[in-house]
Amino acid sequence: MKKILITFFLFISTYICFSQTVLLHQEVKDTTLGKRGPNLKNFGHFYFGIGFIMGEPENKGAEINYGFSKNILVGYRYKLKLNQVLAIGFDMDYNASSFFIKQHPLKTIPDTLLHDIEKINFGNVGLNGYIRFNYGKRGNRIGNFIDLGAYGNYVFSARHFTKDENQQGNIVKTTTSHLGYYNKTNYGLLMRIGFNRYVLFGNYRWSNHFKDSYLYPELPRYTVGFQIGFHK
Amino acid sequence: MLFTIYWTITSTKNKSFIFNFTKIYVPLIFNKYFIMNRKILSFLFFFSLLSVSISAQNSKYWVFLSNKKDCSFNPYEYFDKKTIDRRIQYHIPLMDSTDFPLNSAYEQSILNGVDSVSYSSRWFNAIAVYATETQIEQIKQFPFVSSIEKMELQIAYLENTSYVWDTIISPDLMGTLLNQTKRMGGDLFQEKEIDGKGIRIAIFDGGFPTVDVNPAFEHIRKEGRIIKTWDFTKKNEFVYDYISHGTMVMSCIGGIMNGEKIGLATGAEFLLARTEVKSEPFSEEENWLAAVEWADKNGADIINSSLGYTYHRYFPNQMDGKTSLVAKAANMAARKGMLVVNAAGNDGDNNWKIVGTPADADSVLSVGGISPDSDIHTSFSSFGPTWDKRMKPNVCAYGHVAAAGKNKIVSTQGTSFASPLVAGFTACAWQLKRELNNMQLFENIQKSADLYPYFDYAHGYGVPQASYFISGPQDSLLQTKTFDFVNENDVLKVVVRQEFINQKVKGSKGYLYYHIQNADGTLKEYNVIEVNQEEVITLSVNDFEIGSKLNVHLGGYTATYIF
Repeated sequence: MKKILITFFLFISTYICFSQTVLLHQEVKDTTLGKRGPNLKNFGHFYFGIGFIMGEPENKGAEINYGFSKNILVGYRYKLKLNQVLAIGFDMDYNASSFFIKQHPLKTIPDTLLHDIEKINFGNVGLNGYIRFNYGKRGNRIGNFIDLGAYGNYVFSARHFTKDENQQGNIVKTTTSHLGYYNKTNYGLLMRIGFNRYVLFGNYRWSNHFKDSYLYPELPRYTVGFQIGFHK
Repeated sequence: MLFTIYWTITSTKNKSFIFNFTKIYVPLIFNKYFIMNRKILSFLFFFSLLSVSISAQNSKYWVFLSNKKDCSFNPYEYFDKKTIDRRIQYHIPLMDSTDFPLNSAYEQSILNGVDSVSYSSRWFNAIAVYATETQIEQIKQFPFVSSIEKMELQIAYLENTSYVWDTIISPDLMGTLLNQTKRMGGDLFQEKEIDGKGIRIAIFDGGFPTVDVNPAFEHIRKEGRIIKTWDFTKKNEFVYDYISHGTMVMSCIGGIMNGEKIGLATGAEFLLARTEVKSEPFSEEENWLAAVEWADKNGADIINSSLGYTYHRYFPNQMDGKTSLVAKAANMAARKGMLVVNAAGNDGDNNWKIVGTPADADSVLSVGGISPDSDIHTSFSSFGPTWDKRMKPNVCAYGHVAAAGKNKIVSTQGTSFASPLVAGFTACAWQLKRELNNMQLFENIQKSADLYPYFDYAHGYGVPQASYFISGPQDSLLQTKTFDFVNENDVLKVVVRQEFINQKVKGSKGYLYYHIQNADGTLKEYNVIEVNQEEVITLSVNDFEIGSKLNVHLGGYTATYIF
């Protein structure tokens, strides 16, 4: 009975106590170094990047407008630290590639018709694995690194866009989906040079975008750009 | 070599793809396990150029020597007279091995083996050098080299200077300006005409633009009280440019604007050292180390340093006051009679949270920040304790201040400005109590604080009070009992006396501070609450370990209940 009374009393008192304005409350946690952090065992963060398609196409039939043709990506990167120099990890991302097709008489993809603007967009979900070499003294931060790895994309969406102005001055836009001439997957090699949250990256697409049976010349294979990691 | 990974991918198609880099002929012969086509090579080559350009740069290293054999030293030739006086007054030996110069033959050998020497530290018997990895490998073989540590390089930063002084201070800003010294009882120092006269303060910062023309420092310039300046990043005397942080910091120590004191030590002497190139995360520990030796040589009594190194270089477990070179240097400065006042850090509201280094050093007076509005811990101010559970910060002051910027009084915030407010206070206290040595003064600064003997890891002992040094400890502490402990059937209550409910006590906001202290002296938790009723705390005694304590502070009165 005494216990019940004390509990009841404490409950009421606590309730009253809460009517006080608590301006600062700090609990002193045990000082143990965690396993999750930029330079600890496990670390993950989101990132955003933009890359520009570079290099030359297989032939003039697949020339693109450089600068406009790009790859935009958002993703999550995980890193497992093996030691102060070496780490491995993977990325999961959504990335969208746009190839602006150069319009000239030799153009062959996806056809020989010329337009004011023409592009092929690929929407991808990707997964890549990498090995990371860190260099330079650092505390609990990502620091400077070089990543080498390979990536794979699943193309969940591919669309062909055209835009023209007809003789009446009207703008005619077309979007063609359910394209039959592209491969559902693509893969390649990647390399990154990082300065903490700022990363330069380059991809080389090893596989073809277009099915062999269509005999299309292949689009440029390099992507070079930068990423920003969302971490301190 | 970077690219020793075995790529075994092969292309099944012979495509006529050509990238610009592939036009460079690379006469590499691979065996059958290293089949790579030109495209891949060009890709790797492109990035290897970038990475090689990074890795081929010379790096900076600390080379620590094992002894100072055959070195001689005359303190009267080397030190400023004020340094000699300080050492004699506080019974510090005029010289010890750390004051001796480095062995010149060793220095020459190192110089011959590296690209260039940046700085030599007497205190740590070390040389900062630029060298390649190969050169470092060779130097490691020298019998007089004890160890080598790699440093990080700094990033250059400059600002243009063009100033027209604006003397108008808004009423709000004027209120802040008056209160930031008043909160420490600075008006009492002023009444007694205590202004830090005779105390020499060294300030380490990123630059002091307009200090040579700014009216906030006219009284200092007129009396020639900027004794020496040195830019440790450029190796010359000019420091009156670059980052205005140092100007604001100096004003919080001893500036005057429109007849009002920005800081308390308006009569002090100054040594200005530019040690930082950019903002704090990129600063150089080497410059800090060089500056602290320079300050000692030139007779500094107090060093104000508003920098801290945290996650960019260290892990939290290295914040133990023993690991970083700057913490060791700060402790050595204390052993040589100087008082180092350092900002606790501005990481209270991010993942790092705890004080940086050298604020973690036990002989450094670490200063946290409070808000002028709430009068308690301001969110960004770094918390203690250190990794080895020592109390930090030691004291606190306003972290939101009015300070002299490049061309006008500005509102700014950071523990960077709480630290110089306390440094100015310290100079005044030392002027009054010249018989105290640096560590006795350190103790007295803590004792003067308005929460003492209560403490927590957000405020330390609270805000230092001039009344302690003017009238003595008896008068500065309100001894009136403001609350009682009541234990009824193992339910412990803290009952505030009626007259102290909702009352501001002695200029403070009348908050009640309490913490639970473990038997080993460390804190388990701490709180600040506003007193609105009699029974402010109710605890079940059985919830606490035997030997742990409840310490409570209200209105200058502190009492302890032992469980």
